[in-house]
Amino acid sequence: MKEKRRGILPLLAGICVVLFCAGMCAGRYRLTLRELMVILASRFADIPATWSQNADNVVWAVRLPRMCGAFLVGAALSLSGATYQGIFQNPLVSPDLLGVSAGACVGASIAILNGWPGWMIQLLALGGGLLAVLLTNLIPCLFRNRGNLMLVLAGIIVSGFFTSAQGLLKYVADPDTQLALITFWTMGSLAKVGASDVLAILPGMVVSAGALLCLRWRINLLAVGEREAHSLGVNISRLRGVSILCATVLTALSICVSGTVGWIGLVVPHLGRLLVGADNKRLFPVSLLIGASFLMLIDTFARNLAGSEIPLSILTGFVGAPAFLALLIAQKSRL
Amino acid sequence: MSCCAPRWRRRLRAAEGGAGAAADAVEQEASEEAGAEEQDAQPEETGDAGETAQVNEVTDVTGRQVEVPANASHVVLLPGPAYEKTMILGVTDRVGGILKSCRTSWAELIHPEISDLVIFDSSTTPNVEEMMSLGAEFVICHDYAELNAQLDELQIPYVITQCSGELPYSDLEGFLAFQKTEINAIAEAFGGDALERAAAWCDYFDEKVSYVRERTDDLTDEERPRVYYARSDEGLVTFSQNSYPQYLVEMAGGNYVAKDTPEEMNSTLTIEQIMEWDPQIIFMGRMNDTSIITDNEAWSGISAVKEGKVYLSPSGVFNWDYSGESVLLMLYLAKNIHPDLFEDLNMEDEIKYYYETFYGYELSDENVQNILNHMDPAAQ
Repeated sequence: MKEKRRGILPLLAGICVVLFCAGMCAGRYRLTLRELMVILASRFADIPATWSQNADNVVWAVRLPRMCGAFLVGAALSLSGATYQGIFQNPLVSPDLLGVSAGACVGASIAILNGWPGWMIQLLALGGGLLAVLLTNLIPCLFRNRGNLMLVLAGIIVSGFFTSAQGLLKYVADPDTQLALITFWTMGSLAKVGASDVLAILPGMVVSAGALLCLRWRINLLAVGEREAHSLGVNISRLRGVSILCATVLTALSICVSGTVGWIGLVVPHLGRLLVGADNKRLFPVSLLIGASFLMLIDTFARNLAGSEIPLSILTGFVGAPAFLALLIAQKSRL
Repeated sequence: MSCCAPRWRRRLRAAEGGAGAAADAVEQEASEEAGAEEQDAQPEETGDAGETAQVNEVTDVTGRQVEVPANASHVVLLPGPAYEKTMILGVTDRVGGILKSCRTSWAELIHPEISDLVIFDSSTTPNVEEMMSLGAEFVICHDYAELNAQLDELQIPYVITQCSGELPYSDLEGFLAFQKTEINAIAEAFGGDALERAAAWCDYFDEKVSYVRERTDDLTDEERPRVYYARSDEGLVTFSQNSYPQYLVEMAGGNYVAKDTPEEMNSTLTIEQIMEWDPQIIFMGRMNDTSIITDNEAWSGISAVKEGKVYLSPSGVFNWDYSGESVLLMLYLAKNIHPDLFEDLNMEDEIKYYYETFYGYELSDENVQNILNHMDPAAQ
């Protein structure tokens, strides 16, 4: 039994690779496996081009960035979900607890309303998400109470405020073009992810994810309680601060390129816990891989089920909600 | 068609002649032109027992019969392409409130008084109290069931001129008939000269449609290039099955690639689907910058981009792709899809003629260029 569990990380990595390849093969543009391989190889070997420019673009400018985007966003959201759940010792917590999604949506909507280009939408989404979480972290200072409960309440206040601001922006948006764009954006989509987007979010994601993976042993200590952890020589508020910062950056960067995608940050850590238990040391890498696989799979469906693009949150909801129920049934003894 | 002036010109002249005489517009039928009318729902004077209020009888686009007060002067317009209809019909002075999107920069140029009108933010859930305090005698609106029920309850008569969801047509003939039913329904509601002006517009519409179709109807499938009409948002959102652009492109002699994609108004496509269609010509609907598509690497292999056939779709008093000005869009599409077949067609002249004839406004050459480039009148 123990032997089998140890093999779970390579297994998940294998699934990830398989789904990545499957996603690269599937698309509305007809491309045989052979063509795909040749086009991929053509950048590294000298192969005379017998394929159309469209085929080349499908592989290099459309599918590859998109699959990389799905990998990064799925991994980031679930790692950040696992972190939040670890910090707050609450399995019902998801990455948008402290208002990052609501803030990012407001930032993006402001850019859309002003008709600014795509990269400004992304920048404002990032800024909005970080600003909301900063505000959430400032509210407890007012009360000189830095406990978890105060922080969660602050998150509810800030999220609520930003949600209303978002509602107002939708209200004033031009229903003809802007509103549809805002709505589509809040439902999540990887349709517009290009190579430059992936490269833009990559450094921030790698640093934040690396930091969280290094801290995962320490986050375990939060489970023993604040006083005990303190007596073990861990500065709780600094650890919590750094973890929240990293998890927030991960989520905000994801939202930048994909809009808000629901359910992944909540459900994936649960699935991970079912596989390897509650120890964050193993849970974090496992969640990361499951999340990446899950979103690559979902996105492959989103761009293949119909001629038109299906928003990601619709699919993650349909898969995530029943999966969450099944998980709760499976682990009911542990809740 | 006619010997000297086109029929719609004569109709308009007749309508204007009648306008002075009909100071008290109770005289609805001031300008009766023998045999010109085939409309069965003429405004009637229903002098019922004790009732002094005059009403106009209207058959709206859903076939609903409704009576609205004649001589209304605070009419509320909720569909986007309704204000431009009142411009064509010469009844803008009887409008009290409009949907926000009616107030375009071009409408404001021609009718600066549009900025004094009450603005409604939503065509689905307008503020009905605002409507009542405005004293709206009747409302032009969509077929939104909840709004219709609310207006019924408040006893505000309404005329449906736009349909959401289930469209009342599913082929070209139905589409063409709908364009005329729409303007006629609004004309019936306002009554008087509006009817003549609507008839004039319908004549013009019919003539332009047959002008284009005479040259394109016999084209074989091979002679019809694949056309993609991008609506907005980096080119991935389009109008699809049963949309105005589908019929306009098909009349103009193109093969509309999104004709089988469901959802009429806002279909978000994958770029791979567009590559699979490989359109030979692309028109960009509600955008004023072709570089959104031409500078995007993912689009670079598409035939239209390679051959430099990416065009803006112009925009005037209202979006050309969903308004009365779609007749101009049809001409513009034809000119760009089949330049060889439409060598005699001069878009600048057509636009000037339309604005002068139907809006009574003389456009400058600069104005025309701005319309063609999807720009505001103030743009340099």
